[in-house]
Amino acid sequence: MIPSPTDVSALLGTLFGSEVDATDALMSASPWALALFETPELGLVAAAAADVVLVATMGAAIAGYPVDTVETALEKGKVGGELWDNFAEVLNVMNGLFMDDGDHTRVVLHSVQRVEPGQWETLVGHDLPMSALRVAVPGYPAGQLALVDLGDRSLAELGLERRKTAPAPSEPTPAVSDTRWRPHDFRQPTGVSRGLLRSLHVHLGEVARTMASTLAGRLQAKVHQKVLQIRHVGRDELVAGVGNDVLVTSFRVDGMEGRFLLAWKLDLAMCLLDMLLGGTGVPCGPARRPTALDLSLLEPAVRQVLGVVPSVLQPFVPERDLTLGDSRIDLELTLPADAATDTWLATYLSADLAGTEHQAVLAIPMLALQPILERIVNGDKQRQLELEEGPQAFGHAVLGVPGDVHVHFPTVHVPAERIAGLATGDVLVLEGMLGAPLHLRCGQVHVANVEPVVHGTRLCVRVRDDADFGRVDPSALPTRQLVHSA
Amino acid sequence: MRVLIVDDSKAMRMIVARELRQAGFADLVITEAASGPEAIDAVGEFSPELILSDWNMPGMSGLELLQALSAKGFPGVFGFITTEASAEMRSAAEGAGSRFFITKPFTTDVLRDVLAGVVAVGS
Repeated sequence: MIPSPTDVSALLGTLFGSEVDATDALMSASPWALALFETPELGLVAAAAADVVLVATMGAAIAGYPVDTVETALEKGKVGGELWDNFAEVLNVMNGLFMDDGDHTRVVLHSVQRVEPGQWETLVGHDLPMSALRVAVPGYPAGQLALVDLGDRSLAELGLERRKTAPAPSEPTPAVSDTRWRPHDFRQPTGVSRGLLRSLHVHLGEVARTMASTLAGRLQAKVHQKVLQIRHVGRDELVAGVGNDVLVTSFRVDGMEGRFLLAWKLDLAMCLLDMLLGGTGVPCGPARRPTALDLSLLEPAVRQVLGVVPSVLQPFVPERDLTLGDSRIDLELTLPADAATDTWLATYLSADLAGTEHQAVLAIPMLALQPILERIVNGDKQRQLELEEGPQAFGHAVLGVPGDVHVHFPTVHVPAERIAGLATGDVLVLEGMLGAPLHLRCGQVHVANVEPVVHGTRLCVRVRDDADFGRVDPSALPTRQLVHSA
Repeated sequence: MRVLIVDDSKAMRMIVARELRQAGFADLVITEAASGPEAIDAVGEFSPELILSDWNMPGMSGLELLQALSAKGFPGVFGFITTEASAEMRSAAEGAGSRFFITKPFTTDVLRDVLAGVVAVGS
């Protein structure tokens, strides 16, 4: 059982002696502290995770320390000592949130600890019921709290046992490269530097503002939107941050890879729905799951807002034609199983609509963002290199960088029943003619027309006379954008 | 009134002391102890009329503290302020001689109402 925001507000308000505001939010910050609650008879029942701001805030608020204490601790990055002890006491008192009045089950605090690397991701990777809250104590900075229903699982089942010794490295340490340039995969969690995130913050701020002005035009009302935070997240972290009670719009941007996500809380959906129907944006009654009729009303407005994304990103990828592809609104976040290894750039947004602040998250697959990141990184690198070594230096440097080329074969649309029934010896007729050229591409760039040939036991392609080869600008190839200072 | 607050959390001892004062109890003299053994020492030195104790504390629990003080013939009023709320715990506390059982978090009104029945309340 996950306590409601009202219950959390009431308990913390009583403890701190002030009006505490706990509202549904998106978990936009990494949890810093993790508390586990258990029933002595049954095992773990719940977890509570707080970001470092909330740890400091709650640690100060319970003892009535001035806000300076919090600010100093956060500035110095030292949230320990009494603040930590006090925070632990707050968590100790929060056990009451997880007790069910009906069965009188005793719930006690099992442990409070700093979140170890990967621990939170492991926990939320079990797809457990969870809620994320923004907790504001008057006079202190607001922080974030996640509450997770662990469903009587053990520490071992949840992968939360403390490591007594450092884990053996699963992969050998890569040798230090002696080359100045190397391909860089921005999908890896370490791929986005803080400097790059700062650059992205500016561009995504433009996305947020343009989305707001588009919506304002449709609603004929004031709408403001700003970027709260940008984070590079994996699948589990994305799912955990989105939490429950959300609508998720997933959409494609034709010309870019992967599916984009825009997750927004139900209260924002209700507000938007009310305004679309001519109301003030203050819906009657609590947020509820939208009906099919609600969704049909929301969808055109949402699609209009989503149209902003390709138009704002277009200048970064002039070689492609970006347009809004298919989109759909789901009542919960579902990611395909093959997205497990994907990562996203999650942009946490604060939208002021009808005088009320709402939160949303725009998640862009890193695969889609890669050309934009590369352009930003390499633009800086190119300027630096050409300044130091001359105008041709960058061009010469990238010529040695490998890039993947692939051959695009003809395809054919086949009913699922036919696909499922394929047997040895069956023949599929592709939508292409024998002898027609195949297209050799590097990324999205057409390199040459080719034809298949056999060389010994190897399948090869031979460049045809009608090839465009030789007219391709090396600097236009994705290889140019894959280089990064080693 | 001499009051001994026993809790391993400094913040919680501060809260209990603050709420006691806000509840309007007259002539309060408050002493704190962070553990059961510290509390036993404080009882010998301070002779409190009222002890407000946490239940879960490292080393010696609040219940064990109550039992130890009862064995020594503690004449004052002993009660729990704790996160424990189960019927079994309340029953065990009453059986050991606890006069009241307040669940954290609590309000000033709750503290005043509960204590009004067992100690004198000021103006």
